[in-house]
Order: sequence, then structure tokens, then C-alpha cells
Amino acid sequence: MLRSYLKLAIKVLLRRKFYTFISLFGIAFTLTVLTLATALLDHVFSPVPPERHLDRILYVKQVTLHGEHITLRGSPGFGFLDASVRNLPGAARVTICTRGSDVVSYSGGQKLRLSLKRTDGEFWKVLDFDFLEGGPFTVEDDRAGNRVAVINEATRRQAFGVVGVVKNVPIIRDVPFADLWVPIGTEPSADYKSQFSGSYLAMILAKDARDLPSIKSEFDARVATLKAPDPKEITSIASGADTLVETVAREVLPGTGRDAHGGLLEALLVLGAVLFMALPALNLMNINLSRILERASEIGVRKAFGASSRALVGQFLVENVVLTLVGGVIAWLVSAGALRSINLSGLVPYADFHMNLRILAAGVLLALVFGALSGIYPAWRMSRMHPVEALRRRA
Amino acid sequence: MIRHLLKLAWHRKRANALVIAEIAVSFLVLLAVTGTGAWFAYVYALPTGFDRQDVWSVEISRAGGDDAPPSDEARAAFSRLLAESKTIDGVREASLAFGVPYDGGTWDWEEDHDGVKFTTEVDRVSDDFDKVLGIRVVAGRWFEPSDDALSFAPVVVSLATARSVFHTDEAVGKKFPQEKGEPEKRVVGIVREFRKAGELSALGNFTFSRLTSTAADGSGPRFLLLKVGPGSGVDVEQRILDRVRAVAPTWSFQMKSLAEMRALRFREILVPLLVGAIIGVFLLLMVGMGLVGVLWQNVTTRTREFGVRRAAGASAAAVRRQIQLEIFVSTSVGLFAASLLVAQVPLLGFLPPHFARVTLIAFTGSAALMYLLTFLCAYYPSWMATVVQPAEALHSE
Repeated sequence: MLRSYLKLAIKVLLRRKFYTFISLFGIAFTLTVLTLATALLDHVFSPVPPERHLDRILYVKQVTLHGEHITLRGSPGFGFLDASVRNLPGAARVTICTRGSDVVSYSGGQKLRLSLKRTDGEFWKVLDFDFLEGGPFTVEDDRAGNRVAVINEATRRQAFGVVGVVKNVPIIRDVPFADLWVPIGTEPSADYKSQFSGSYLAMILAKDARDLPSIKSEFDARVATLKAPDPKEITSIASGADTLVETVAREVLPGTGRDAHGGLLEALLVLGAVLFMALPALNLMNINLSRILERASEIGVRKAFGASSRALVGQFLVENVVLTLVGGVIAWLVSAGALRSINLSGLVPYADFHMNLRILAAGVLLALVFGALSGIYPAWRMSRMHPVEALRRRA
Repeated sequence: MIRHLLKLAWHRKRANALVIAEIAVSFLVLLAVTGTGAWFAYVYALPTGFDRQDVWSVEISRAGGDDAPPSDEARAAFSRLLAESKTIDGVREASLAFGVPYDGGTWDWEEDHDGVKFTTEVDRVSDDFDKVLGIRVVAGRWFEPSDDALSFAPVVVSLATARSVFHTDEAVGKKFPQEKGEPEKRVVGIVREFRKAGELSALGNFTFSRLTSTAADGSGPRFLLLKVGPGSGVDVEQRILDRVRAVAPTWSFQMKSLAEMRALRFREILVPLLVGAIIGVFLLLMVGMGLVGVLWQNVTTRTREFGVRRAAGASAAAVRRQIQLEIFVSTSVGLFAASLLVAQVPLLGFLPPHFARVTLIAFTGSAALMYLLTFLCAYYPSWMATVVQPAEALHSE
């Protein structure tokens, strides 16, 4: 049955090429936009090196210090992290590093801007960098404040005593990203050690993904007992150990206090996709309805010979899904080309956008949802058409 | 004629509803794109109140963290930094500031004045800030070193602020609203305009307070802002950085020209806008093609109807006009429905002031574009309806 539907679908699509073209244009365009959005999200949130163990990592990227007249909200300082993230039960490793800042070096009248991140030795064990040359610096290097550095491929310069070269990390992965990584111990002053507000962040690598909730609550309990050394008027401290999605939710959604609403962020993304699909779906519905009216006599004949409404709905949905999947293939090709050109344009430093199985899965799902969304109403209208009325009409 | 067509449209409401919905949603998309575009075009043309030419900013990261009030040593270092940078060869003017143009941050302040709430963006800057940025004072004066001896805290406000707080342009010498426990504030000067975030920022109030080397409260400055000679290059940049590093070896400094910072801000705003516009254009193209398809089909199924009209003496032009008017009615209904939705938005109070004029332009422009789009979409199908000979059309059963 399905095979004959498929055959019929292809025949019908080839019959009225203008309709097929406008349908495909809309579908391919819609799915291209959605596929590109998915690829971007995948680039930001997928567990790829260096953040390979994403399912086990919690981030502490924000702290809010409340006083009677003052609210400081920003990156935590080293002192706060040192007091709150060490030795959490269930945590395998903990690392503290800076958010990253730009440093400029001048040589031969040329200005070179590099992104610098200060890290401890554990940083290299929590994250999986791809070393092309040498290796990471160690906990001892950090303690001694040794002037050593790890650089990325794009920065093979000998400014520091380079101990290793790693593959470029895209700027979108802001936690591991830098051009140049040096030990925290190279900070020019030791003031950072006691600060609660500053430019640091921490990563907690759990032994097991199931330990995350208990680590979170233990972290919260510890933060609740902390007392900020300075400024004196701080009365309460709020922070959170978040998964990567939650760190973004904490930044973009207002009013997040202790809890980050990762679920809300995901829901908003889905809602956005559905809203975006509304106009293309309406458009496709209109075209589909027109197509059906054109095939009124065919439907009339089938009904007169006893085809059930359900069979007709099924047939039409198969047709529409075939069309959407063809549009999906076009969208896939266009998206792959667009991502390639973004990579080559250098618009996003070290971007390495590419298609993968996760995006393919999302793309197929989106195509099916879109196909069903735009096909159900016209199919229902078609199945309700009265055979006599349908046969009387002429295309 | 229109009334008759409305009646006809009502009879075909089931068939028309989806088309009308599509037109309404397309209009909303178009309005969002043109509205945003028109808004930025409108504010871009307005003066920013400063001159960014040959101005460089040095972002200062204090070793002690930037949020906490500066210690005595830090304040002494800031004074040395300012004095030192004025002596650097190639630097014409220098000033310290909490925020500088295009820095991406805002500091807003909301206060009651005689029971009326007003909001102003604020910045705390040192005495020569106006010279670095070429800010024009239209009444009163800018801050000056002798202000140290004043018994009150001087503020300089923008003209818009003076109007919204005092309801007059003559605000110099008036007492400026203050928070409880703060020292008295008085307006010493008025500048024409200051839009710290630059050309693409919304219009609002702006208030400068004076940064002194002695004040112990609040955050310290975060930027050193320098006016350099025209055409200064990397060598001047390096000289400046070497000198400031020598003054405060434990702090870190990041140097950028205002032109670079402006380009960065513009990119942050314009890239999403451009992506939105491209998506919008494709959506409308898609809708346009869809409408052609729908109307085409509509016309072919109504061949007999048009045949009857032609046989009864209607001219080809009259039939074409009928089809065009039908889509005109559908478009109008769609636009009306969308307008009802849009009318809810300003009530929410999200939109920036001065929005009414821009909204009106965007609204009329979008509506005109929708009529044009539907007219063009109906053009070929309406022509199709007239090429069939009446006799043939009546035969088509």
C-alpha cells in the first residue's frame, strides 16, 4: 500500500511542476534556516573535544553578591571559587581558570592581539585538548608561577616558553577558548587569591553524570555559608554550578537567581522554531489545498469506489512527507554549503562548523514535523469532500 | 462594488480564511523587519554628541578587581596614570572615565523628582572628558579642577535630561535629584546630546558626574580615554601602553580605538538585523509564489463564472479588476487583523520613546508593500482569466 502511495506521490509531484517548485522552494528554505540554527546550537552545546565529557561537567561562571545598597553580579573571583568548589563529594576533578582576556604584543611595528587564559594544571585533565606538539603545563608549573604557555595552532609564536601546541578551539566554546594558556601562578599580583568577584570561572568534572544533582546541592550549601571578605557590606552570595546549557540560560534569561532555568531555555528554542515554521506552514497549506481542489475528480472517483477517508488522509500525508523530505535533502545541501562558506569567511574565529549525525537526526525530525504540520489540515479537508460534489467539478 | 465583493468574499470565507491568515502573518513579519530597520535608520541619522575621530580607549583592569571601590593606593595610581598620560608624545588630551562610548555597558539610574519618576544613563568622568570627545556645552560649563572646592557635587546633563527633570532648558544652577544620604547635586552645565552607545543606540537622558581623585565612594574609573594626533599608528600605541604599564605594573591594560569598538558594536547589532532581513525577504518571496499558485488554481476553477460575466457583457478589464479587487479585499482583511494584533504591542510599554513616528512609517510602508505584493501575485492569474473565450468557458463543463 505504502509503495503504491509513494509511486503515486512521485507521479503527482511531477505532474504539476510549478506547484512542486513553489512547495519545494518554501520547504527547502524553511528547513535550511532551521538546519543552520541547529548546526549553530550543535556547535555550541555538543560534547566535542576539548569539552568531551560535557555530560559530567558543571560550570561556575557567575556570582551575585548582595548588600543593602549594592549588587555585584559578574564573574566569580578566585577566592570565592577556591572556597566553594574544592573537594565536592562526587567530583573527580576541579579546575579554576580565568574567563580570558585580550593581550596585545607588538613586534616589528605589527600589532598582534591574542586571547589569554590563565589556568591551573588540572584544566588540562578536565578538558581534552588535541595536542599537536608537546604537552600541557602542570600543577607544579602553576604553583611555581613558571613562565610557560600552551598556544594554539594559529599562534605558533615564541613569546613564552611554549610547552605545547593544541588544535584551535572555536571562539564559540568560550570556556576552553584562547590563543594562549598560561599558569594562574603567572598573575602579576597575588590579590586574586582572596577575591570573591573577579574574572575567574571553575569547572567541576563529576565521576559520573548521576552525581551532578548532589554536587549541585552540596555547592549551594557551601555557598550559603560563605562570607565575602570585601566589600564589607555584602550580606548574601548567590551562585550556581550549572551544566553548559544552564550557564547560557543563566546569562540570557533575566531573573535567574540560584537556579538556572535550562529547561525554559530549551522550551523557548522549540517555541521559536515552531513560530518560525508558522508562516511557511500556512503557505504550504494553501498550496496543498489548491492542489487538492485540482485533483477533485480523482478523489471523487476514489471515494465513489469506496476508499475510506482514512486511506485518503494517509495517501495525502505520504505525498506531503515525501515532498518535505525532498526539500530536506535540498536544505541539507544548501546548509552544508553555507556552513562551509562561514568557515572560510573567517567571520567567526576558528569556526569549524560542519554537518554531523546529530544535525541529520534533528533535520529529519524537523522535516517530518513540518510535513505533518502543513499536511494534516489539507488532508482532512480532502477526505471530507463529497464524492458527488467532487466528481462534478473539473480541474 | 467593494460591498458586493465583501459579500462574495464572505461566501467564500472557508476558502479565503487561510489566504487571509497567510497575508496577516506575512505582514507581521514584514512589519518586524521594516520596523527594526526604520528604527535604526532613524536613530543613526541623529547626532551622538561626541567626535570619535582619533580617540583611543585604554581599558584598565585593576589587580584588585574592578567592582570594588578603589583603595587609597589605587586612587593615587589613577591620578598618576592621568598625569603621566598627558605627557606622552602624541597624546593631545587625556581623561579617566567609568564608561566610554561603545564600551557595551550601561549604567542607568532611576529617581523620583517631585513625585515624577525619571531615568537617566549616568557616567562618571574626569575634567577633560569633554575635550577628548569634543563634547559641546550649550549652557553653563564643563567640570573644572576648581570644582574640588565646591560645597556640592556638580553634574552636567544633556538637554533632554534638563527638559525631562526641570521642564525647561534653563537648568544651570538648579538642584539635581539625589539619592538619600548623598551630597547635594547641582547642575553646572548642559550638553546638547550624549549617546554613549553611539549612532545605533536609543535616545534617552544622560547625566555626567565628576570623577575626582579624592572621592572614596563608588567604583573607580575603568577607562583611560585619549585624544591622539591624526594618523597615529602602532608606534604611538606601543609608547602609550609602555608608559601606563610602568605606572601600574600589576594592572593590565587593553587598548582599542573608538573606531574599532564602534565597528564591533555595529557588527553585534547589524549582523542579526541582516540575517533577519534576509530571512524576511525569502519568506515574502515564498509567500508571493504560494499566492500565485493559489490564485492560479482559484481562477482555473472559476472559468465558468468568468465566462458568464463575459457573456453578459463584462469587458476583459472588468474581470481582471474583479480578481484584483478580490485579492485587495483579502489583503485588507488580513492587514486589519494583523493591525489589531500590532495595536497591543505599544500598550506593553516595551518600546523606546520616539517610536511612534518610526512605527507609522514602517506600518504604512509595510502595508503598501503587502498591497503591491498581492497585486503582483494576482497579475498573471487575472490575465489568465480573460484569455478564455466566453463561449469556450461556458462549454468547459
